[in-house]
Amino acid sequence: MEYKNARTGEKVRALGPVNFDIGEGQFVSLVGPSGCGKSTLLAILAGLITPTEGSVLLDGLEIKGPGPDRGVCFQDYALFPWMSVLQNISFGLKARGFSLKEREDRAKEFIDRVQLNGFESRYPHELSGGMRQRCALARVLANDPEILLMDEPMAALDAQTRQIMQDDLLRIWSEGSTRKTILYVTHSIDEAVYLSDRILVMSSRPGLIKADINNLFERPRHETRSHPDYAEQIEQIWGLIKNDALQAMTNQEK
Amino acid sequence: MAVSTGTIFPTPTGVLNGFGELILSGELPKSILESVGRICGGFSIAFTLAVCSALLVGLWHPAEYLLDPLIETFRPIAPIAWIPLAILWFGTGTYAAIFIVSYAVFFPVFLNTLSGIRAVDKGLVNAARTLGASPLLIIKDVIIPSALPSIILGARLGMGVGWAAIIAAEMTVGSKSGGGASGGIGQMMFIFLTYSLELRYIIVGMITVGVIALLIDILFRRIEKMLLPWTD
Repeated sequence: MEYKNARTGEKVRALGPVNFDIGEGQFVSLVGPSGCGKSTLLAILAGLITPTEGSVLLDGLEIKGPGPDRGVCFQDYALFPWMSVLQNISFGLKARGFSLKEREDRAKEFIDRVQLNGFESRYPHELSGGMRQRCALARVLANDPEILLMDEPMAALDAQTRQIMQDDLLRIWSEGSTRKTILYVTHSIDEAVYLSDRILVMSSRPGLIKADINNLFERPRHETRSHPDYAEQIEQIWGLIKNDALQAMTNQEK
Repeated sequence: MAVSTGTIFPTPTGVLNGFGELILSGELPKSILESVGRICGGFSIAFTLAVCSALLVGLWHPAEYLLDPLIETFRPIAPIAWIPLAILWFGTGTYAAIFIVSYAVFFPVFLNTLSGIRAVDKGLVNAARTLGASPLLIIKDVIIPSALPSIILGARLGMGVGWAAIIAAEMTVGSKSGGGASGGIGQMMFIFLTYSLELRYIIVGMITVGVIALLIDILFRRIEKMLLPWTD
């Protein structure tokens, strides 16, 4: 996947030219100071924002709008409040013209995978934050995208639920017949190091990829957080972001 | 004194008896059926038109520029202001009444539906787009369900003004036709005012209007609960 020469934003140029490849089945995190344009970059890849200049290529093809080949997980989950869990998860399949039977069979498979059994007919407002997140994840996965674009999907969860959800996400991701490629936007370096194979570090104004770091740790990572090198890797990435983050903070205070 | 105090200031028992008398004579049931039928007709026409035009205005910019100013110009013109034209165009019967009701119902349904459509969460539309939904499916499965609470609110308000309008229309149309022909609760009330001065019967009419409006609103709330199990 390439992403090049895109400049967006009405008043501020949010992004500079950005170019990176993601290997198939790779879990890549995108971290950076707030306002660096990481969410914008994700929205461009999703086809929800058109870059003012440049083009976005996915597998050599230009992205011209949103499409089911790129599944998106939103920070606020964006579940349809009027649809049950089952209907939410089968919506993408409905959009793509599958029959009701096929839709429900496939949706049930993913309800199993995210462990929402028994909640099929519940509405989103009846679910906890973690369950909503799993429902949103199942909705995207049921659509069988080539890449998952996740925009701070755990930012709205409390710390404990987040930790559990991180393990859930890794389990769901590694369980499938083929691992999905994931591009994961987060402001949490810890989350990036814990989850991903590779970490892209962005700088701000304009957003550029400043560093491309391969994760040191083997999977599974249950013990990783207590590993002595863990803190070091986080420190190293924080070192890259720190100045920009401080800058962003003072800019906000002005 | 030709008029007894019982006529000008009806007693509660007089009104109660009035109910019995008018039901037995068949006059009240017939008038109710007539008015309710007109309300249903006028409401259906207006509701369909209003929801369709709100979708058009809310989702398609050229329609916003063309239709919105037009609708806003007509909105301040009260339904009863149309009665002279309605009588000339449609006569003094059911069609004129339906026209007046439709006109009255249109605006609250249109405005509420439009505000519902405009309040649709962009994030949900985007989510549907990334899942591969066509614009048509987005309208059907995202925009309309999302606007449904506003549409139902508009329908309830529309029903209220529809009732107000039909009684006014029937009373006026009744005065024109000289009684008899066109019917409805409003005309029944008008006839009792001009021909027999039976105020008890007029009060029977007023109470009937209130009670039926209440029953219809209860029905709407039931429908609301049924259609919107996902709210609260």
